[in-house]
Amino acid sequence: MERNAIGQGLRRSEDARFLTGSGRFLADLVPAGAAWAEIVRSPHAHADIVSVATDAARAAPGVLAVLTGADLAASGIGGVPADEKLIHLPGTPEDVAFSFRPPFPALASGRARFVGEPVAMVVAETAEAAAAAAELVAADYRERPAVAATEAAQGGAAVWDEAPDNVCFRWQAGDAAAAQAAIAAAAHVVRLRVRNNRVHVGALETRGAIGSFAGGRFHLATGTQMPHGLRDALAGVFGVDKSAVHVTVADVGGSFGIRNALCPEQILVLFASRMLGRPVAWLGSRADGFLSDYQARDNVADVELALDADLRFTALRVRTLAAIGAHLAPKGALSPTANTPALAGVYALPAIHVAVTGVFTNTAPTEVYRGAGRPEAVNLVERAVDHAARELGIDRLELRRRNLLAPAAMPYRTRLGLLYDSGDFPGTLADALARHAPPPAPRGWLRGRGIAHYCERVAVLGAENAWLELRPDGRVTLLVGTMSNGQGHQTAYAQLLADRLGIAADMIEVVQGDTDRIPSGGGTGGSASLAIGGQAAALAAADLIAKLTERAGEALEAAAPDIAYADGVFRVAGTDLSIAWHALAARLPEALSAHGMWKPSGPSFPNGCHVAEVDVDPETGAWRLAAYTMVHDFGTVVNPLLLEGQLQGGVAQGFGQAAMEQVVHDPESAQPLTGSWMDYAMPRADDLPGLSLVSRPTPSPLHPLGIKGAGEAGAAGAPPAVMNALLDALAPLGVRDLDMPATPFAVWRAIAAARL
Amino acid sequence: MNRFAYASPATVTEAAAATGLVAEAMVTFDESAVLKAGGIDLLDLLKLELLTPSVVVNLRAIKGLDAITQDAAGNVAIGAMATLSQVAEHPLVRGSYPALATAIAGAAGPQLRNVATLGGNLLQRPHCWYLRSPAHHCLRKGGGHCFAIHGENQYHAIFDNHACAIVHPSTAATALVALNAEVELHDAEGATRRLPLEDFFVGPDDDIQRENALRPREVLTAIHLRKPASGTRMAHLRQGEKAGFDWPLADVAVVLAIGPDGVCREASVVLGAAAPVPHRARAAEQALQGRHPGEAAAGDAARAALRGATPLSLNAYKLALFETLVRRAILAALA
Ligand SMILES: Cc1cc2nc3c(=O)[nH]c(=O)nc-3n(C[C@H](O)[C@H](O)[C@H](O)COP(=O)(O)OP(=O)(O)OC[C@H]3O[C@@H](n4cnc5c(N)ncnc54)[C@H](O)[C@@H]3O)c2cc1C
Ligand code: SF4
Repeated sequence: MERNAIGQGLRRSEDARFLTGSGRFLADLVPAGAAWAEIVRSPHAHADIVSVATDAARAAPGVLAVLTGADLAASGIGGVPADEKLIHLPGTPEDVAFSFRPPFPALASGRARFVGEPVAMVVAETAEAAAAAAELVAADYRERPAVAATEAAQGGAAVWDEAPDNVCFRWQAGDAAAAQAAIAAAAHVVRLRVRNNRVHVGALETRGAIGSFAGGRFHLATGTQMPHGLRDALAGVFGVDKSAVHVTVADVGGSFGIRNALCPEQILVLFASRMLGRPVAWLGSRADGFLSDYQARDNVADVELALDADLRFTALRVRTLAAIGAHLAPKGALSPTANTPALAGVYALPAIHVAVTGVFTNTAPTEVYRGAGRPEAVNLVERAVDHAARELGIDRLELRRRNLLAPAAMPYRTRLGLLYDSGDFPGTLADALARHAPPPAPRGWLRGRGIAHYCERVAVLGAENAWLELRPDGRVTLLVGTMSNGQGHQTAYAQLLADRLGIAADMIEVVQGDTDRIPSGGGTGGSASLAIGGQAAALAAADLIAKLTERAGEALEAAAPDIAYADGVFRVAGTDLSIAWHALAARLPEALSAHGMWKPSGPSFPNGCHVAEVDVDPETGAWRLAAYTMVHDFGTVVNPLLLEGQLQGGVAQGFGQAAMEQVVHDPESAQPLTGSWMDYAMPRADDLPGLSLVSRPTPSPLHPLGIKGAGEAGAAGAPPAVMNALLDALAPLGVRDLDMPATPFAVWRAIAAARL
Repeated sequence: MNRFAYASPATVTEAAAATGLVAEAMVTFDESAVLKAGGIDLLDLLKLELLTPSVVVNLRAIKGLDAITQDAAGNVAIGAMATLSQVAEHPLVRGSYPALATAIAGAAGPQLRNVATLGGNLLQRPHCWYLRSPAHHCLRKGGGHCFAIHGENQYHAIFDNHACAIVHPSTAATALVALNAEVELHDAEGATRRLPLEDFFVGPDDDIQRENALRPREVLTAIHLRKPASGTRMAHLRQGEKAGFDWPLADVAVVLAIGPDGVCREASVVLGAAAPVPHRARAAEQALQGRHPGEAAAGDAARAALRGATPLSLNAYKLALFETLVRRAILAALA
């Protein structure tokens, strides 16, 4: 039997199921006898809801119920709950608070504030009957002026009367006075405006929820990253004890953050199922998704980077306008605030100040998305560094080298409060450049190279527990509260445990996504599953081995301390007495349980350097990514194959944001125009070259296994690497600025503007 | 998507008989019967409820409609139901009409090309995002005004765009118009008519709610291509936002008949994604005719091709794009 150890590129055990169509996604789980729900959505970006006439829909064949905002209000259940507090970082005033935290009822009443906002729900015997009856719900609207663009929010039509300036919150961090003083005294200050374009996440599996209510308990089957968090949130919405809510999650076709948060439809199916006494299923269409999925990014930042006469950075100051959307989503304020420390980057920056204004617009709410604020911050600082080099006429590498934190400076506390534990940034940069070997450029095209260097704080979620059960047949079940959304957790956990337990990975079953079976869980997010859940599993494994060693002592009539376990065999030291795993398991009267809990004492700091090479056709603005290198430090790598998958997907998503992705609204009506894949461009495999991925691990000192977390790193570096490469290629033409997405149209426009 | 009946007429004989069957099937259904070829565009239209037919008539079961044949004179007929892959890979097409093969091989993506048909490709509806958005009741849908002309028009037309600024979505059409192809249409009585593809397409000035002259209960059965004269050179180039799986931002087909003396006798220069119908750039053609084509002529023709363009607020970049593509396509044809 070959040992499955940490570090092997084990293939994903879930793939057989996915590739043969036997995965179990939400649409596979609708129970017989379920009623079906269809959501009636606002066709207007901003309108008073004068009335919602439901009689015709109620009378339609097969219809069981039609719910409106008034019904929900009358029932007294809560809306979608959002964070109540803003995060505190060094420099955040003690009394910082939301200026306005609007209510977010699951169905709008009185006013609709974005196209796609749920206004009514029809429940019927079949999906078809529900859809047909939804057409009969006659809502009467009085249109209001709407605001779609983030920059237009202040001074635009008020999304909420309570917030006439459309401000949801004002927040800051860092030392305003120090930054101001440094900027005033600086030899050079470079300024630029950077836009982080609004993206639609577009997970392959569309959103959905199946609610049922029996024996006084709610059961929600849905896709989420955080089953326990969702359970707790729903308990709050319905005003019941946590124990009255059961959340289960089967296979999930992608989340990237958006399934983190509770969404209105999840509340609605539970509400309806309690009312009707039967399960209610809602399976959202792609069109539903484009309109009403939480969207992401969407902010505009003014960045100032101050330098002294030797071109050493003296201050970074950032003013950000961040779009919240029409409602504050559960974690809607997190990305622009809590993860701004990534602004400190890999540099010695003696003063930093960042101020963020969260603004309402008549658009879908924004939520966390792969990196949750870190890619946005990395984009700002890395764009600013290249911009400074160009404006000040210094080589970009030289400017970077002059300002990178040296390994000797570690541990280093940044001015936004993070304590970097380790990292060899100059070494990573040198390695990335050495490993980067692009093919020759096509003739007549402009070649550009972009660098983006980042250091992320990840794995900041709280504790994770892991429970193991060894059965008499020798097989082991892991129960853990993190949740795979396609990353391959089943494989990674089994491999990690196989390494720790000395048995084959296929003897380990991984159970996730059931809040009844798994007592608690922090969930998946912030690249934390393996870094925190993995360590909990490793501790549970140690617990199991300890318990088995006791049992082996009984079996072998020896004292436990004299017994050593290796490679599936318990052996009494210095004798030939031994008992194998299976034989020992077979003696168990019942399943043997073990437990491990891990709460990291601090975050971990994966870091890396991305290098992108682009070729631009100066006559058309068309361009392509010619080569891409990423040197990274994720600490201990459990499975390089899974890691590579994470990085490829992350880089593709970051590239997509830089190159083509953009939610477009009609400027006048705020109607979304990107309503299907026909109009919203997603990168495909043929848009990317093969990536050159180089591992340069330094195990995390805070983590017994040395794991740092890697899920978001690709997305963190790709946008600025690609944009810096484009700007490098276009510099000879005089182009100094370019916004994402850099479509051929945008590139050509930049070229044309520079020629004027 | 609404509920509809599904019919799949079939036959064992050749195209004529098959058309008879379709005709028969079609007369039994009311006006809201729609034809399904590959179903790629149709499915999108059904999902958006831009079409709510009572019957969907499948053309797939009709044998012979996908044939690609050559007559004794060397002319080629492509059955309307030939898939884009079949057309792009067929030796007759690759041998005699390489620009068509290139245009089609670059359209959409491999999975789509394996299903989509040439007929369906020519008859697909435009993909103006206002047209496809249920929230916008624009002129082409019978509404009061065009949202694109003062809205998000970066993907729209730069010619003939004053009423409705769609661009014709078919890439195959760009090459086929340049090749002076003809379409063959069968009606429910079994009668057929043939007309140049160029005349088959209908611009907004003639009828803003349709893109072609297909009559009710008419089926497109074949596309006819004349044997190219000797000395014919051709090329098709496209420029997109993505490497694949997307319509081009601009595409250009060039067909040149070069005499033994190296002089260009005839020239066809057609721009796709430029106007509501495939746009023949007559001034560019004139700039090439009677000349020894080369860098200079190509540059002149490219500039001439854009004369008279009326770009909208966001799509002036297409002028440069097309100018470059026209020049490159001419040079590629000569190469
Ligand atoms: C991602 C994507 C990218 C694309 N990129 C491109 C591109 O680059 N270039 C391009 O040209 N196209 C592109 N397309 C469009 C695609 O090629 C067309 O949708 C497809 O060719 C339609 O062919 P079909 O056989 O599926 O037609 P269908 O969808 O079956 O039919 C289309 C229409 O024509 C009618 N019809 C079909 N056949 C006949 C007939 N024989 N007689 C009468 N009426 C008929 C139908 O009633 C229907 O209204 C793209 C599509 C997608 C989804
Ligand atoms: S361009 Fe044509 S299809 Fe598009 S909005 Fe205007 S009228 Fe409608």
